Amino acid sequence: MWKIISGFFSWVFSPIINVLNFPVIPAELVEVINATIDFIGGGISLFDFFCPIEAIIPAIYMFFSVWTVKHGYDMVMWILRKIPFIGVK
Amino acid sequence: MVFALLLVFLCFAPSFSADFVEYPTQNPENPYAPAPVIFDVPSLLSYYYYLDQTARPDLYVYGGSYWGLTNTSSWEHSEHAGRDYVSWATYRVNYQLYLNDDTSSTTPWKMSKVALQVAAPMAGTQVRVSGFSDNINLAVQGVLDSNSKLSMDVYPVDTLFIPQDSNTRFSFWVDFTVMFDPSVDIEELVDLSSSQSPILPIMDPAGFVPRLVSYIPADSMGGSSAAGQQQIDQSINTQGDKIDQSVNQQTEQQEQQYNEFTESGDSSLFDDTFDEVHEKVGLFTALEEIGTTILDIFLNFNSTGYVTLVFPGFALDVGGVTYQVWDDYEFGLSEFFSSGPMYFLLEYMQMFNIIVVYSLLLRYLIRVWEKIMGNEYIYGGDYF
Repeated sequence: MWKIISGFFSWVFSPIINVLNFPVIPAELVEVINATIDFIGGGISLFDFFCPIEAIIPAIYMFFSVWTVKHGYDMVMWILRKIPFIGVK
Repeated sequence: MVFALLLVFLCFAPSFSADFVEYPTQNPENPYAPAPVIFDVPSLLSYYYYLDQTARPDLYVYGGSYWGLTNTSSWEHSEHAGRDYVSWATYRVNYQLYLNDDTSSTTPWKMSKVALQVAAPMAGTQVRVSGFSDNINLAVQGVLDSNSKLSMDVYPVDTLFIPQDSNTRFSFWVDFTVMFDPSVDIEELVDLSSSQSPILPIMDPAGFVPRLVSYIPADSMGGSSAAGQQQIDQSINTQGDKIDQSVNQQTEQQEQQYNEFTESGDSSLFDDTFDEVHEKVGLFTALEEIGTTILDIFLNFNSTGYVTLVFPGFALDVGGVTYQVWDDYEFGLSEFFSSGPMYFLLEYMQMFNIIVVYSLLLRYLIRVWEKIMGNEYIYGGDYF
């Protein structure tokens, strides 16, 4: 069902996206990003040794929860402010 | 406030490092290995220990070097008894055991780990266990060499031992050091009422309980070492195959459910468009994928507790000939911080880093609160 909905919206917006023509990610950049992620994965044990991840996982969850809510709220308000007859400032 | 929290945690930090011996709950190298089986204390036939007299010249063992299970080591010194400070003492504990207290058993068995549990150390004392390694000092009693001494040898872990005759005992020894708090007078540690000689209660055998972990059950083994090892390997493989089969079944079931779910209202037009658009906006979806991947590294991280730094080797290629200047060097970070003052240093470093992370989170939450509700609620308002 999710794929059908996504497909429908993709079908609706595909003409706009085709006109905008976003650039494709270069293969070199993909390699660098993959290498960076590999480095992070390799060094995570060392990080965990000095700063136990098990202890800071609640902080990570809380940070991303607050960050998501705050930026989601900002984005919704930014859109609402663009509609003049609603009167949101 | 951060410094106040830091002080509070530093005050309580030593209480988190009370255990010096940790028992592995699962073999990280082989998760399919049998669960650790711990010997009960009655399995031990007897054990005895002696105090290393060379370690502290003014500390004497009363009545001989070896002590039985019911005895309590005592010490005496005409000048220092009851008045001296004792900083540390080295012990060697010898253990002898039958398998499950069965003196006639000839079933093979092996032990892969020896640990020493300190039941209740006295106040003012600490126990540092040392001498544990990948090798177990183990000897089979009853085999005498030409000098009429027990043949002692060092066996690697997971060695399979087969009692050739009934009434065969196994013995091994463990070295450990008892640390005494320098601030506590020895007079407070010594029980002067129970014996004519002053007694160090910390040396009571009841305080030290030997345990063997990762013991392979003897019931499933055959009569020979090869057959026994084969049965062990077979049981592990069978257990692993069952787990793999179960996981594969679950995966196939989930894939089947997903395919049924997605194919129920499938449309090739939508599918093609979705793939095309997904490819076009790959620049944006890649950001989300990168964030998810990095976050998964943190959230799905399983700590093994063992960290080893590997310093790469260096080689020079001269005229087609490669000269190895130095090889790879592995530095066991976990072993380096496993004992001594470095253990406490690591505890404090970990505690400090956790405090830093949570203080940063607190600072971020305050900043978000200020942006949403206004500065007067945190700083400079009516509340403060």
